[in-house]
Amino acid sequence: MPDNLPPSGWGPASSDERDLDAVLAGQMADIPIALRPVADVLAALRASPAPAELRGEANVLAEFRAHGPGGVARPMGPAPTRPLSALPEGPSPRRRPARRRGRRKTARPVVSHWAGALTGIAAAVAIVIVVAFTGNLPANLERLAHLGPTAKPSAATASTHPSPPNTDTSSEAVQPTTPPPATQSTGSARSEDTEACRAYYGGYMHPQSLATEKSLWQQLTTLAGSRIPLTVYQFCLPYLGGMFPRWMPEFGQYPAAPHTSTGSQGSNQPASQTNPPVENNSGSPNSSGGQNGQGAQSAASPGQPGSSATPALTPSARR
Amino acid sequence: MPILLRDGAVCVDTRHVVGEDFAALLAAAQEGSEGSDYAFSVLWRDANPALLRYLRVVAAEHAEDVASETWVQVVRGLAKFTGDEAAWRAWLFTTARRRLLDQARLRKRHPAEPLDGISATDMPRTADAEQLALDNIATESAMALLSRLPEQQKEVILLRVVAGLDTDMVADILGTSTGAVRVAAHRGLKKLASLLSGAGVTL
Repeated sequence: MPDNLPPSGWGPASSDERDLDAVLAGQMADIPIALRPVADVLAALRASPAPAELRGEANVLAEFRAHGPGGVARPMGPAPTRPLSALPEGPSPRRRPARRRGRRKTARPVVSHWAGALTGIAAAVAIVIVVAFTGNLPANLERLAHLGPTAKPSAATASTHPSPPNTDTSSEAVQPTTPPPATQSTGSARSEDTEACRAYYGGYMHPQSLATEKSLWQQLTTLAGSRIPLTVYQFCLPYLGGMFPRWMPEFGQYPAAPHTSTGSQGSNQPASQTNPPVENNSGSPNSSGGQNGQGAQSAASPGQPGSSATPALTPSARR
Repeated sequence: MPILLRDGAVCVDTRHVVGEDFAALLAAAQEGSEGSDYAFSVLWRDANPALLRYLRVVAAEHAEDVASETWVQVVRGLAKFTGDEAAWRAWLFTTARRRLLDQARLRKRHPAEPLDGISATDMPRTADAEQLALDNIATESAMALLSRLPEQQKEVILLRVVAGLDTDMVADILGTSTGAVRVAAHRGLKKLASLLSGAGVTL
């Protein structure tokens, strides 16, 4: 049931929907007089903002600066009060892209990647070369890198079957100061190998002149049939018995000298330290005997009574 | 000194308050640049009085709180808003209604003390103070009168008159049909007329 307006002198007799719409729209000119009071009420609702209705501006601006589209807390200050006329007239100004959306073009260091890769490759090659010359490559890698003539089987096999050195009570133990005398084997070749090897590698314990070292090296490469340091060392290994102390891991265990006979092996010597099972084709390094072998074996086996198995720096261990 | 966008208590169409500058102001506010503070301030000064009046009629004791929460939500969603001024106001008042419903649910669980209303002593002592006081009294009286209407009628009138929204937008906000909005508005106006004639009130 629609509302009925009380009869009054100024109240509307009837309400046309169009009049009501006009009142709602604020069109004062077309409304009936009876509806003028209602229009005035609506006009009061649309009145200018009161100061109290604008008090929370600072808080809202703080919230806008903190969480608004800018997203960055900016220093708070009095709100600007520029009139609207300050805005440019005419069409809306072109929207400027936000700074934070701008793309930053940064040149990527592509060249540095290639330079780094090349540097790494060069370093690896240099390391391989250095290691090859210093003889620190593993045996397998050394074989792969072998360029010269194949080393003597005796030397090659000697490296795969490192045998504990024969121990002997010979007084010719490892001497840190003076190399043991290079004894001559029954064969001249063997004696030459022994002399050259012991002379060259004796330089580890007591440096020698560069010329001497180079000469000995040339001789060893000829004897070993290879210029690869590890191959040469493997060739000389049977002849180096007793030269170096046990605490040098690279020279810790080495086979008996080629001229060393089985008799030179002491009874105290453990079975594992009998004539080393060094395979050889051109004159077994174990075939040589004599003092050199004894001397070579003197500092081989640890714990052997009467053996100079202790490092050469402790001559007291020698017997 | 705040800027008054309109002079006097004349009947002004509240539908386009900012007018042609709305698009520029909105874009500036969404940019997040140096001028965005000013642009948002203009938008706020234009809409906040209407929002407060609406809230003070439909939720007299919690109008300030709901208004603050509404602006917080509006600020955080401002970057994603797109539309003209009418859509802007519709979004603002829709957010306010939702916050109002949330407040109502919260008050049911945790009743709180009502806030103090606006005091007449807070009005500035300027040359226009008397006019402003009269305007304020007229506005307060109008709001007091409107609050006597049924819930839907006063809300429709407020959204149509104070918020400046058309019938379709009001229907969307209230979740009703356009015809129902028109009927509610007409009934509300008739009720106002009845109240005015019965009380013998003249403005």
